[in-house]
Amino acid sequence: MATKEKPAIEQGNQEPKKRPGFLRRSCLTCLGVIVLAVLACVVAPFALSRLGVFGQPAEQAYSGAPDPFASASVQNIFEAKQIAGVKVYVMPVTGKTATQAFIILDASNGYQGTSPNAGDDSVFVQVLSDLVNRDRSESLGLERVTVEYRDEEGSRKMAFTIPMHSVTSYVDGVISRDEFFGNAYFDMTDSLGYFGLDAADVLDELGN
Amino acid sequence: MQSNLKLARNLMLLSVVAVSSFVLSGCYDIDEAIAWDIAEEFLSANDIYSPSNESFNVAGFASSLAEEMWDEATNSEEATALDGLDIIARMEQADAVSESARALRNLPALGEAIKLRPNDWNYREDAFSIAVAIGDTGVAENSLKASDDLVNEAVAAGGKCFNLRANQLSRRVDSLEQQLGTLSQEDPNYSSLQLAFDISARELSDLYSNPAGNLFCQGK
Repeated sequence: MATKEKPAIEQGNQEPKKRPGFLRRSCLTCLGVIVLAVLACVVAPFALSRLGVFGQPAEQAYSGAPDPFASASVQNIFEAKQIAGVKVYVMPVTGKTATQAFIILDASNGYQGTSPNAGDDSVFVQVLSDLVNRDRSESLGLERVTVEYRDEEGSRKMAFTIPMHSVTSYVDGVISRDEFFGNAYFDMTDSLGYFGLDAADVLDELGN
Repeated sequence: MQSNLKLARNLMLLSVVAVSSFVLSGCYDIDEAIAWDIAEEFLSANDIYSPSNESFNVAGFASSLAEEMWDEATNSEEATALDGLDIIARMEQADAVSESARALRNLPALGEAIKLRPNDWNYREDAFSIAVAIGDTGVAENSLKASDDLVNEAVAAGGKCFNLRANQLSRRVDSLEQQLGTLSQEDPNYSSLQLAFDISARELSDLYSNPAGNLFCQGK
C-alpha cells in the first residue's frame, strides 16, 4: 500500500518556529510595565475619584455659583479695615453643605498689605478673629480658607490653604502661631517659582 | 547637573537667609513676612528646612514634592482648594464677559461666560434677564429652566436648598434690576421685565419670610 507522501512542509522541513528573542521579550515586558504604570498613575486615581475613594477635582467641587451674602460678609472684614485690593469669594462645595473662602490679595488692584504701616501682624490677627466671629454669628459654614497673593501684574505670587478649624483654634488660643502656620498647606510648586526654581528641574537633578 | 543642584540648594538657602535678614532689619512688608513665616513653618513641618541650624534637607524636599504630586493626582482636599484658585480666575474672566454682555444686552457674547462656567447658574440668570429685556421668550424660558436644573443638581448632590435658591434668586433680582435701570420705559419689553422683576423679588422675600413654604425647596 502506497503511503501517501506528506507534503514537504509537513515533513519537518519547515523551519522551527523562532521564539521571541530576549530583546523583544524585554521590550514587551517594559511596554507592559509602562502601560500598567500609566494605568495606575492616570486612570486609577481618576476612576477611584469617580467612585468617591479620592476627592473631587476643583472643576467639579467649585462648579456652582459663589454665595453672594457670605462673600460680601467676609469682604466687609477687609473693607472695614480699609484694606484695598481684596476680593473674597465664598464658594459652595459640590456635595457638601460647607463652604470655602477664597481670599485674593491683589497688588494689581491696589492691595498694599494688611498693615503696611503697623510693623507687626496685629491687623492680620484681627482679620482672622473677625473671620471666626462672622463664621460663628452668621453661620457661614466655612470649612477652609485659601489665600492667593497676586503681584502688580496680577500673577499668582504665592498661595496657601488652611482648614477653618485651625484658624478657629489659633484665634481661641488653643494652638500657637507656629502651629497655626504649620497647619497651612503651601503651594510648593508655585513657591519654588517664587524662589526662582523649577520643581521638575530640581527633581531631575535629584534623580541623577 | 550637580552644580545645578547646588545652585538650587543655595538659592533656597539664600532666600531663607535673605528673608530672615529682611525681617530682622525691620524694613519689611508685614504680609510678606507672614507669607514667609507660613512657608518656613511648612518647610520645617515637612522636614525640608530646619530653622534652628538653617539646613536644607534635599530628601525631605523630594519627598514633599512627591507628596504634592500624589495629592494632586488623588485630589486631596488641600490640592483641590489650591486648584480652586484657577477656577476663581476663570470665574473672574466669566464675570468680566458677563458684565459687558449685560451692558450691551448681547446674548451671544454671554454664551462665552456660560462656556467658561457651564454649571454656574449666575450666567443663566444673566441670560434670562437679557432675553426678557430684548423680548426673546424662547431663550428666557430655556435659561430659567437651565438655571433651576443646575440648582436642583447642586441640591441633589448634597447642597442646602435654602441657601442655593436664595443665591440664585438674589442674582436673578440683581440682573433684572440692572436691565430695568437701563431699559427705556417706552420699550415694548419694559413691562415684561418689570413683571419678571416683581415676581422674582417677591419669591426671594417669601423665601426669607417663610422658608418652609417655598415650593422650589419643598421636599428637598
